Amino acid sequence: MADLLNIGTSALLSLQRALSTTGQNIANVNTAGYSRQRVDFATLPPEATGAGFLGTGVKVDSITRSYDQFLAQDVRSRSSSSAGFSTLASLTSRIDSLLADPSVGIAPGIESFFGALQDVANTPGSIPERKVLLGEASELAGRFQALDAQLRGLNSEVSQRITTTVQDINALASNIASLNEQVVRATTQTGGQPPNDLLDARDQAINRLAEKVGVTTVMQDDGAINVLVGNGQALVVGFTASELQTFRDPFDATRVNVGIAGLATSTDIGRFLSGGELGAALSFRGGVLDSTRNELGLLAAGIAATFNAQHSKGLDLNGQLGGNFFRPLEPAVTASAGNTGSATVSAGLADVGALTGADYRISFDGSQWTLRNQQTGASQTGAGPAFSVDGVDITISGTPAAGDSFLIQPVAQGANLFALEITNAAAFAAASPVRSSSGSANLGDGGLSALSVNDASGLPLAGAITLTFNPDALGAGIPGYDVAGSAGGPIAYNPATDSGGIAVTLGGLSFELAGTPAAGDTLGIANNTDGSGDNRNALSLGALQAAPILDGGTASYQDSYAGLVADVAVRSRQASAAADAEGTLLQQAISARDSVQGVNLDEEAADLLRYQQAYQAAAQVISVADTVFQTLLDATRR
Amino acid sequence: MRLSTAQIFQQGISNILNQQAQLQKTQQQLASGLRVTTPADDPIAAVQILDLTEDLAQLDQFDRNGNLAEGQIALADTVLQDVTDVLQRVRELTVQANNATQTPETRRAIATEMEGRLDELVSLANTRDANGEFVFAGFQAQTQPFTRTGGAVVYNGDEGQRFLQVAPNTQLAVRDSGRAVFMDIPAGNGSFDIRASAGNAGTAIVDASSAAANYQRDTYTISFSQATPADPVTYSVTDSSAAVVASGPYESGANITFNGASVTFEGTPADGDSFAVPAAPRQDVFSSVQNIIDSLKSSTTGPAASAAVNNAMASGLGNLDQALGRMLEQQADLGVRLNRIDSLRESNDAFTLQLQETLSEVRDLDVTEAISRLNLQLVALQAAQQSYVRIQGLSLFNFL
Repeated sequence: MADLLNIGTSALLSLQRALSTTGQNIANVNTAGYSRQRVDFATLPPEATGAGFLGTGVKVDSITRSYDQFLAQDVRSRSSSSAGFSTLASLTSRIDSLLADPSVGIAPGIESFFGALQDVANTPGSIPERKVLLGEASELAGRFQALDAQLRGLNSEVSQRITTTVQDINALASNIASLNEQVVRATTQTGGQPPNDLLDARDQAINRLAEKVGVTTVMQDDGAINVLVGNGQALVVGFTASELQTFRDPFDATRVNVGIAGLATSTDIGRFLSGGELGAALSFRGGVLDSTRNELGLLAAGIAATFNAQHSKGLDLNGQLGGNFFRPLEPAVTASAGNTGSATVSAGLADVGALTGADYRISFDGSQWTLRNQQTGASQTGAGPAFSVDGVDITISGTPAAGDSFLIQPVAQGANLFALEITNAAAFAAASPVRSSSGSANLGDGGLSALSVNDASGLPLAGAITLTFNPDALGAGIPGYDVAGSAGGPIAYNPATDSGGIAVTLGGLSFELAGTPAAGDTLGIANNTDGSGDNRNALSLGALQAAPILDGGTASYQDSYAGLVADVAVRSRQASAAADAEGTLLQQAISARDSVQGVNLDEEAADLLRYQQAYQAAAQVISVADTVFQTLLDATRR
Repeated sequence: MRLSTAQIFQQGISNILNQQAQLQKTQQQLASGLRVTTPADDPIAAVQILDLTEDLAQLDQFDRNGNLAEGQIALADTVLQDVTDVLQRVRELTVQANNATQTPETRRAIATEMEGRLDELVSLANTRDANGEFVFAGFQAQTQPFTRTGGAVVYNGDEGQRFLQVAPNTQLAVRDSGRAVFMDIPAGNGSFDIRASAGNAGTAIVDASSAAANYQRDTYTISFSQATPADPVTYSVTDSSAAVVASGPYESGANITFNGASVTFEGTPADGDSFAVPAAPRQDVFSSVQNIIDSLKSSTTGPAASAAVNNAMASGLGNLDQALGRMLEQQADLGVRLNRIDSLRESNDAFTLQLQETLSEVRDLDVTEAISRLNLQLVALQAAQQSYVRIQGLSLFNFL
C-alpha cells in the first residue's frame, strides 16, 4: 500500500514538473533564442523481492533542452555573413545612388560644362557666355567637392560605426565570459544538470556577437565556450574577456583602426576581421569607399591636367597665354603620427596619364626605404632620396629614424581640392596664340592651314615667322620654304607632289602646307593680337569632351566616370545579391534550428493533455491506495 | 519536418514582407516611369544611360550650334547679296561710262555716283553681327576691318576663319575673313592683267584676253612700233628679262599669243605705245572700283584719252567680273554650308530620335509589363495575407 502510495506520489510530483515545463515552453514561445525544454522521466530503482523486482515509481531524471550544436553553429556563421553583406549592401548602395543622382553626380556637370564651352566657342568675344562657362566650371568643381564631401562623411560615419560596433563587441564578450562562469558554476552545483536557460542566453549572446563580427567558438570540457575573432585572436577565454579597441590611424586622424586592447603597440588587426557588421564596415572602407574616392580624385586630376594642357596652349581675351584653368592636382603626403626622425617627404606629379588610383606607403628600416603600393602590394626598395612610381616623383629630405613612414596619396584629395583656378571671365583662353597669313603679293595659291600649338613655351613669338617659297630652297632644283623668324628651316615642299597638303612641325607649332605657291610667295605666322573673334582653342577644348584621353588614352571624361559608376554599381549589386542569398540561407538555417529547438504550441497543447491525463491517473492511483488501505482498516476494525 | 510556432509566424510574415518589398519596387518603377532607379538595378544599363544622356545633350548642343551657324551664314549671305547688287550697279555704270557718247562731264557725274556706291561697299564690308562683332574681320572681331586711308581701303583684320562644331566630328566655317572675301581677288582675267601705259597716244584698246593651261607666269610687256606713219605697225612681247617672246605685224582684232597668253587689241596703236601684262596680282574690290572712278574723273577729250578710258573701263570690267565671280563663289559656298547644316541637322535629329529610343528601351519601364506584374504581386500578397490569417487561426488550444 505504501508502495502504491509512493508510486502515485512520485508520479504526481514528476508530472507536475512535466506540466510546469510544458507551461514554461508555452510561456516562452516568443522568447528569442529559447530552446524547447523536455522532461526526461526515469523509473525509480526497483525493490528486489523474492518474486522479482518491484517498481517503485517514476522520477524526473533531467530537464534538457532540444538543441543541436551543429544547427546552432550554422545559424551563427550565417548570421555573420548575412549581417555583413547586408551592412555592405546598405553602405555601398549609398555611394551607388549618390553617383547616379542627377543633382550630385558628375555626369550632368560635365555635360553642362561642355555645353557652356560650346557657347563660348560660338561667341568667343562675348563676356556673358564666358561668365556662364566659369559658372558651369565651378559648378562642376562643386559637384566633385560635394561628392567627395559625401564620401568623406561616409568615411567618418564608418569610423563611428566601427567605434560603436567595437563597444558592442566588448560588451557582448564580457557578457559571454560572465555567462560562461555562471554556466560552469550552475552545472557544478547541480552535479551536471544542464542550466538550460543560461545556455540559451549564452548562445543568444554569441549569436549577437556573430552579427557584429565573424567568430569561431571552441567548447571547453567544463562547459565554457572560448570565442575567437580574426585569425585566432582570443576574445573570450573561459571566464575572461579581452577587449578590442579602436585607435586613430597614424596617417589620418579621421579614421579609426581596430586592435586588441592592452598591447603595448597598437597593431591594426582590421584586415584579419571578416564577417559581421565590423568586418563589413572595414571591407567597405578599404574596398569600396577608398577606391571610389581615389577614382573620383583620379578623374578630377585627369580633367584638370588635360584641360589645363590645352587651355595653356590658348590665348585669352587680354592677349595673355592661357594658364591653368583648373587648379592642378598636388599629391598629398602624410607623415605617420609615430615618426621620430626629422625626414620630410614631398611628392610631385610627373605624368598624369600614368597615375593610378592607388595610395603608396614609404617606410624606412634604418638603412633602406621601401615604397609599397597599398593596392597591389608591389614595392621597391632603395636608399633614396628620390623615388618615382606611377607618374609620381617622390623626394625625401632630412634625417629619418628607423620605423618612420609616410603615406603618399596622389589622388585621394583630387576631388576635394578640384577647383577653378581662373576667376576672370576674360582669362579663359578661347583663342589660339598664333595666326597665319599669306602675302598680299602672292601669285600662287600656296596656303598654310590647321595651325596649332604643340608647346606654348616659345610663345608669344618674338617676331613674325615668314615662310618664303623658293624653288631652290634645299639646293638647286629642290623646292621648299625658307624660314625667317624661327629656327628649323628650310622646309622641303614640292608643289608637284605635296599640293594636296603635308603636315609640318616648326618649333612648338604644327601646321599644314598645301597648294601651288609661286616663287617668292610668302606665308606668315604671327602672334594673334586682338584675336577676340578667334575660337580655335575653345573648339579644341570642346573636342576634349569626347576625346579618349584618360586611362592611358582609352576613355573620355564621361567614359571614365561611367566606369566608376559601373564599378560601384556592380559592387552594390553583388553585395545586395549576396545579402539576399545570405539572408535566405540564414532563414533556412534558422528554420532548421527552430525545427529542433523551437516551441510548437500544438505540440505543447498535446503534451498538456497528455501530462494532465497522466496526472489524473496518478491521482487515481493514490485514491486506489487509499481505498485499499481503508478496506484493510475496515476488515480489522471488528 | 517539425515546425515551431514562432517559425510559422516568422515565415508567414517574412513572405508578406518580401511581397510588399517587391510591390513597393514595382510601384516605385511605375510612379517614376523608370526601370532603372539606381545603377545597381542594372549596372550595364546605368552606364549606357550615362553615355546616351551625354550624347543627347551633345546633339542638343550641336543643334543649337547649327542654328547659330545658320544665322551667321545667313547674315553673311545677305551682306554678300547686297555687295553683289552694288557691284552690279557699278558694272552697269562702268558699261555706261564706256559708251562713246559720254563726255568727261557725264563721266565725272557717273564717278560721283560710283563714289557713293564705294562708300556703300565699305560699309557693307564693315557689317557687325548682333554681338557687335565685325563679320569680316577674321579673328580681330572687335577691330573695324576696312578703313579708308587716303584713297585706298585698308584691311585691318587677319585671315582667321571661324568654325563652329555642328556635329560630333564636323566643324563648319561660319565666318570668312574680309581678306578672303574682298581683298584677295585676282585682277584682270584671273591669270594676267593688261594695263595700258599712261603715255599711250594711239587708240588701241584691249578687246579680249585669255590664258591657256600652259600660261607661264611672268611680267610681260607688249610694245608697238611703227618706224614711219606709212609703215605697218609691229608688236613685240618681251618678258621680265627683256627677252622677246613673240613679235609680228599688228592687225586689229587679231590674236597676239605668247607663252600661253592670248590678247586681242582693236584700234590703232601709235609708235611707242605699250601695255604691261603682269601675272594677275591680287586686287581688292575697293581698288577695282576706285581705279574706275579715278580714270573716269581724269578723263579728257580726244581719241587717245578716249582709248585710255576704254582700256581702263575694260580692265575695270574685268576686275568687276572677277569680284562678282568671287561673290558668287562665296555665296555658293555659303549655300553649300547652309545645305550642309540642314542635312547635318536632319541626321542629328534622326540620331537623336534613335538615341532617345535606345535610352527609352534601356531606362524606361515597360508599363504594360509592370502593371501586369503589379497585379500579379497584389494577388500574391493578398493570397499570402489570407492564408497567413487562416493558418494562424489554427490552434489545438481552440479545442481545449
